[in-house]
Amino acid sequence: MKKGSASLVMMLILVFVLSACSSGGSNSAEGGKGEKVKLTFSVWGDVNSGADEVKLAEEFNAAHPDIEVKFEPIPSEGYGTKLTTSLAAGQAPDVFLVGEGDYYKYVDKGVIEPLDDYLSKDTSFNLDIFQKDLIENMKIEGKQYYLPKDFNPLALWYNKRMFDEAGIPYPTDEWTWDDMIATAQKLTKKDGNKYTQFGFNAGKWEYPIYTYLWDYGTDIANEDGTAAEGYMNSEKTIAAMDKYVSWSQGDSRVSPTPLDSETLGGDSSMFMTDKLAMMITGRWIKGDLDKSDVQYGSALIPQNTDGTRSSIIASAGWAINAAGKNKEAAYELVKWLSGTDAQKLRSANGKVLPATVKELDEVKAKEVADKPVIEMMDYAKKPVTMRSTNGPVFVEEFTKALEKVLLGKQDVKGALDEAAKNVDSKIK
Amino acid sequence: MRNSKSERAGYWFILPWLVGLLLFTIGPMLFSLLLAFSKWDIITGVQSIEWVGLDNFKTMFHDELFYQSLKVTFIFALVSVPLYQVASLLIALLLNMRNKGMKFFRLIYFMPSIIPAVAASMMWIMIFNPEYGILNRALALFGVQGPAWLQDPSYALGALIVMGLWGVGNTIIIYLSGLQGVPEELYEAANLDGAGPFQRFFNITLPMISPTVFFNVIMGIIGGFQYFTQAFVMTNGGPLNSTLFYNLYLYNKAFTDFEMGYASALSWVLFIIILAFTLLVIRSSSMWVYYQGDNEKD
Amino acid sequence: MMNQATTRKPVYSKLFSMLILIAGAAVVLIPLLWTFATSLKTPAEVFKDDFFPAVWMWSNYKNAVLAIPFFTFLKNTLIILIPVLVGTVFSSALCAYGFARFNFRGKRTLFLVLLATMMLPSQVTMIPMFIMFKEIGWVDTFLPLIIPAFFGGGAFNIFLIRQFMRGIPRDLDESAFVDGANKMQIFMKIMLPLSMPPLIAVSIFTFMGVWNDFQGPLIYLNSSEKYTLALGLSMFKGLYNVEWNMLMAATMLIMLPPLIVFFVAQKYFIEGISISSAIKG
Repeated sequence: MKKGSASLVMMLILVFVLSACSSGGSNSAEGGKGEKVKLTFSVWGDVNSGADEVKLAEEFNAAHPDIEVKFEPIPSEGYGTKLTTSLAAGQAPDVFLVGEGDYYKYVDKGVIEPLDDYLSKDTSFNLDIFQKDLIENMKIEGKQYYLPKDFNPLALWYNKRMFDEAGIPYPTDEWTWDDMIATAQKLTKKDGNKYTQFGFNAGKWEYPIYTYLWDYGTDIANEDGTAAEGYMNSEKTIAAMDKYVSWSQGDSRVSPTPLDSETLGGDSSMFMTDKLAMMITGRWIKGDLDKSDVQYGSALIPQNTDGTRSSIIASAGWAINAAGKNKEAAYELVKWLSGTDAQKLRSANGKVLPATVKELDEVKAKEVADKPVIEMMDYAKKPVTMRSTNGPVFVEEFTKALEKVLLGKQDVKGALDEAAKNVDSKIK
Repeated sequence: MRNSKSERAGYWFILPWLVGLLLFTIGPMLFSLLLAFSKWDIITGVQSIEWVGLDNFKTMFHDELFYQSLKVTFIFALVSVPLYQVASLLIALLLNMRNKGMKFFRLIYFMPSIIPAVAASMMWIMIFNPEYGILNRALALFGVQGPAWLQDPSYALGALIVMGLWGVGNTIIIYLSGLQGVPEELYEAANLDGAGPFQRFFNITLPMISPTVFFNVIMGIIGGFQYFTQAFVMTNGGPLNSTLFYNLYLYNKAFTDFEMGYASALSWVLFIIILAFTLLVIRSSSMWVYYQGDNEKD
Repeated sequence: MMNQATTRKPVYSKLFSMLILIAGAAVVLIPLLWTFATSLKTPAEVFKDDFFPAVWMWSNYKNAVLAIPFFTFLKNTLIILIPVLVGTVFSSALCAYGFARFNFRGKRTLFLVLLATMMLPSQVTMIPMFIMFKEIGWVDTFLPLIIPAFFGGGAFNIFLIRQFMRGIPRDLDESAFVDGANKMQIFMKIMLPLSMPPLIAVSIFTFMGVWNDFQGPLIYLNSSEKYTLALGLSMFKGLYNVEWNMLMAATMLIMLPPLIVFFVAQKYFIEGISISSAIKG
């Protein structure tokens, strides 16, 4: 064999492989079937709910002979990476799903197409059909950018068996935070030195903490997210957080520390194994709860003594790629994917709530467990991550401060003062 | 003899790599070098790349997390490289025995490398569980109160180092394949001279596998400084940034904060650090690496 | 010169070695046992303390295979795997030979460049590479995942094989040369066969790499009918919930082929060819 012939053999194999593979692969950007406009849309992957989207795509294609859409699910843990990479190369899907924590981020960079022009020209489609707080959440700085796919309001979840065992009445709509903590204390039990169960989870996750702070008339940032000083470390915030932290420390505590909840499997698994009586979390937990044998109920998140009540809605919204080539068609798709029929299809098995008012009312009338969850939507407010591009900086510093306090490394005032200072210097 | 016609045949043999380098590797590397001096928020596409000169490096100089991540990564690399090398060599020596059952043992020790990272991380989160995890339960048998591992800023990094030990299967395989290259006759001759196991190891085995050690140490350094996946899945840099590995910090800067320029600058700094350490090892190699096939220095 | 002491020692040291091995194996196995146990649980049991499930739900395995297009994903993984395996082994061996046995100008520098290509974190080269492949139209095909394997198969592999080759005595090359063989023939007839241990190691690593590769297929493949097993596995992490038991069942299934490959392959590089017999033959 000649010297260079090995390399030539390699090239030959290459040619083989190339021809074999390019017949199998196809470039989805190519046109080819007449005049049809081709669109792709993506969500993050789920073994079970992907089927709904496939069905919706088929129905859309049948109803729109001049458009052909393809559904391309992406695995959840790679969604962000893939979306970022494909946006960088100008290769992103025409329509894609965005989680509420990222709403602001993508709009701020200008990669989401605002929908207002399309909506004003469209006489057949009206935003009134949607729950107003939900649709409001999807407006950034006055413009509508997203339409709802599904959503999960936060509510108070309680373990009925644990309440029954202790002979305590279930949470009521009038409950204040103090009422809840008082009950939680009755439900926190020790066996010698070890806790066998806790009343309430006062954890590190900022969403429940937001509802608590808002009830007390304060927040970690000012309205447009430009200042932390005087908000993250205001007297009200410090006082509220002092109380919050005390719930997971000391002899009269009712909550597992982050350490405990990792120990005992995280708050939802503690809840499901009757080790945690109450927690504030989103409706997504229902899927897991229904699969286990826990007996649960949902209630309104407690209010302040002065009647202030707040909540957060976690949601996923459909967005049109601002760099897409067929935005008109994409708008039709987005309407379809968020409209009444889509909402009905997705909520048919009770796993998600419909975003349209009419369907929501029907669910409220029938489902006991969902009634408080749906009602909580009326109190929804926007966290700083949905009000400002600086949002993530606030959350990062706040969480870090909280972590330090919970690990016993700093007191609340010191940690929050430092955090506020850090935020302000970073967002300059 | 250097660069004679027959020696130049070497170019033909490395041609595939050279071509691949030009086609696939150099381009992206140069692009990222460019990005190190630019500002780019990625999702707006290539048209928004903006030259900023040395700004990224100036920011780095004052970036507290840059230093933190360097510290975490250095500690990890400097502890794990020797630890993993010694451990995997010892195990490889044991697994090199020619018994019947060894097949299964080799399989067992290699299994961790087969498990997808996510599943492995979940397992280890359970193991490190302070109350119910096996690790602390085992320590309790000896009367030792185990720490909170992944929840404790002082121990989280240590936990990850321990966990890495479980996954040295690849290194073991490489040592095993290196051990195969040691000629039997050398051992036979040593036995005839009455050499004990230690003498055999230090005078025959070690020198003969020094090329393999060279490989594993360099790869250990390169890999150690680029440690990412487990930290990403298990701790995301916490608690309190005690496991904020350099590569993780870099990744977050790029994909969460959309600061690709800064991330690229960070990556080139890492490049220089790794290159420096590697050169050190290469320079020292003439003193301890022995190639049976030739007399060339690396 | 054998005396009592030397005959007794081997027995103790063997026993000691076995003990260590067994202890280590136990440590290594426990996490795996947990995965197996979880794969047989019902969703409710996943969160409970008991190590083993009450009822062993083998049906999880059937469901895991049915829930996703398991065999399509398997086929896709193989479409990538086989060319990559072939390409990597051959091209890395070729390049390693070039670095190991030839003394051409710039070799030292080029070798350093080879090592240097591994020093830049892939997180930053990932996007430029993607843009490049997009420009030549290879996105949503298997090509970006296969073609690079033919161009050296990776610096890691070239480096590994090169180290081993430099340990093979030149006498063999020289005697073959004297017999009239050219460099290529020396490569094919002497170096390749003698390099079985690292070649098998490279094969195993390449197999594992492709089998478990998540990020490559993630960013280059758009159509879900082209997805590989690694991507399919992560579909068990849903919109909001994780199906732990199914995820673990699928994980166990996916681990099976690499295990089998390794078990078979180790015969070839452990009880490998000894250099001495090659010299004699």
